[in-house]
Amino acid sequence: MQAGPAHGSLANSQSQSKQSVLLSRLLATRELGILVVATLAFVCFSFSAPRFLTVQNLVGILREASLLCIVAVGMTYLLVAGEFDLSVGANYGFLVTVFAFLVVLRGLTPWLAAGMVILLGLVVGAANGFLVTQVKLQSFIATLGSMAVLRGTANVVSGGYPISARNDSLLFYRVIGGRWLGKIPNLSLLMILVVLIGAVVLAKTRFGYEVYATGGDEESARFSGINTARVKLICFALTGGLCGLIAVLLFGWIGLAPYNTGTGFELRVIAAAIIGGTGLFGGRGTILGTLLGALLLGMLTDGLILLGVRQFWDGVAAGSLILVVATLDLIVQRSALRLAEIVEA
Amino acid sequence: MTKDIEHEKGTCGLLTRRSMVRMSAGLAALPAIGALFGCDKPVSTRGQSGHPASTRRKLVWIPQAAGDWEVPIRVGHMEFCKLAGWDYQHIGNPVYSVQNHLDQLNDAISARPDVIVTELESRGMVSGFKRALDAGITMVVIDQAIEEEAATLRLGVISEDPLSTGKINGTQAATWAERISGKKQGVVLVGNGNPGSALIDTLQNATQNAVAAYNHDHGTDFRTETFADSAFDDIATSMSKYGAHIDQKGDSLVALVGLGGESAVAIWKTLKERGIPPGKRIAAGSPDIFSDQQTGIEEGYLQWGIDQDLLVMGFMSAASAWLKINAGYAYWSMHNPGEVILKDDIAQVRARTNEWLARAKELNLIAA
Repeated sequence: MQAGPAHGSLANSQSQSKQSVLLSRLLATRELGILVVATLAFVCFSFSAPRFLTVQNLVGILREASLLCIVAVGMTYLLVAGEFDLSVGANYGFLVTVFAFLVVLRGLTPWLAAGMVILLGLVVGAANGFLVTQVKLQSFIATLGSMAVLRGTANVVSGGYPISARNDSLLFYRVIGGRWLGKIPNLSLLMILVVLIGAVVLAKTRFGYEVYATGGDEESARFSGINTARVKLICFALTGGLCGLIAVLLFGWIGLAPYNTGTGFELRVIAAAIIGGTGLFGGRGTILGTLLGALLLGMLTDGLILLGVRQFWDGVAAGSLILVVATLDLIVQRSALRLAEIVEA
Repeated sequence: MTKDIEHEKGTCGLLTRRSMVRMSAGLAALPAIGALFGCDKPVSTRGQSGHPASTRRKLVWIPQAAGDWEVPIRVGHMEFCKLAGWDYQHIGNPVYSVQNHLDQLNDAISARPDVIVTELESRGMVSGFKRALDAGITMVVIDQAIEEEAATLRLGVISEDPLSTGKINGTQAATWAERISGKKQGVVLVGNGNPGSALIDTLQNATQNAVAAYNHDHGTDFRTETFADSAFDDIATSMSKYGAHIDQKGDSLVALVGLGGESAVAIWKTLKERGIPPGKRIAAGSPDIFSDQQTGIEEGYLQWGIDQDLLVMGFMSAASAWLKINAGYAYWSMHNPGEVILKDDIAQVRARTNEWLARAKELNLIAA
């Protein structure tokens, strides 16, 4: 049975409209830009750097991105909620020192100390949240202050001297520093778990909705009955707790708490989230995008070394990447908007 | 081959550990001798030593980047200050930049101490030194210096000798590279945690020159490559960079050299993490000998370290200020050539490290 000309034209028009809507939705997906860039970078490095596409190297990239990505999950929550935390690097350094102090100098079992340090991280994060939501300090000021306090406190605790594990053959170190199936680092598995939980909570739960609402339009969210202060406080505490988690992972991995741990870490964490499409002014961002951002940063550092590029270009490349991805993102968003207008018309 | 390596110990220097310790002991006795002969008028009798001390002075130590590396210097300072009955203060920013260092120096000048001990690692520091000298503060250059600037300011320098240390470092790298890899050619990768620092850059050049000299003498063709390893910032990042370089160079990589203790620890942890058996395929070491490096050498992942006698360096810098203030002696320069530390030496080095670490704990300098 054949459709008549008029019927066929309507069907064609409907099909085109559906395609446009689909394209519009696809373009509106914030991870698209970063996915394109990440894929391009991956393909380029695979062809140009002979040892890039080896299991060991790819695992190395995954591990490099792991610690960064875990904290970037918390940072994404904060950025989506319209805040950020400059103290994550210092908090990480402080907590790894405290962890080493508890285990090595106070003789606590690493498992117990891990729980205590993660809890301490939550408390430090919550304190930042309290300063922002109750004292009403801007998050820039509050976390800048706590960054200096935490860095200084870490030096006071350690005396500026690294604390090393006395017995790194314990089960704790074997579990954290071990590899699943002899290939995948366990700390990367933990990162994947954190990413999955973080992504589901942010995208599919009421709390995730409240985070987006708080960052999107705080006043409207408050009028809708959302306790925005509580939401922000939880996001700060979560980020602090994740700093505690990576402090435990670092010590479990290398059995050492260097006094300078986390120097410059905050900027890499924020960069991973921003590259991943998270907006600086709240209401936008996904955990998947952040994961891609962290992987891309790791891939860039690694790939440039494999290509034999002089190290000072590392920073130039990372900065340029942020600019390229942000510009690409803007172009994609504008195209999506234009397409949506066309579809509506 | 072992003999070649052993041969270098303490032979190419201007000053050996033993002679420095002997000089320290002599200097340490000076206050007591001075008091005995009535050279100064004791104002108070403070200090644990119980010796009558001269006018109570204050010494401030400003490391260019505060951290674990300078703990032995602090212990040396404190030992002398206790002996002389001086007050002691340590300030410093853990994050290095010339401006951070200069800011700290200017802050210290405002507090008008009698003595400031610090580095002259950049020409950017000269204005601060001039201000301090104009204010009548006794300045002592330690650890790192641009020698011409120090000479212009008429200051001596108490430091390691980067040329000598670099020579030892490069020779060790090439020797161990040949022995471990069994190859005559390959890449010696040199990681620099603080590019732009006068001392570390000199150390780097001297290391590269020493590898070239080794090639000339032994008919090898080792090629050096340098890179910024981020080890002074974050060990996890540094390990990733070393890992990527190991992948990139593949079998051509014969040695990893870190220009600092942090770099050496990052190398050791990376080799272990990558499952490269200790003492196989890639030689590794650095011109420092921190506690964790000692463990790396014990485990066989690192083959050499170099002791710069930072404890004595600290003591001597304070003593040099005492001589200037109390006895009018002119400044002099002392350059420690460094002492090669191999696996067989670790027990002895560990023992003396533990001594100053225990003292650092007693003095509440460190927790570990």
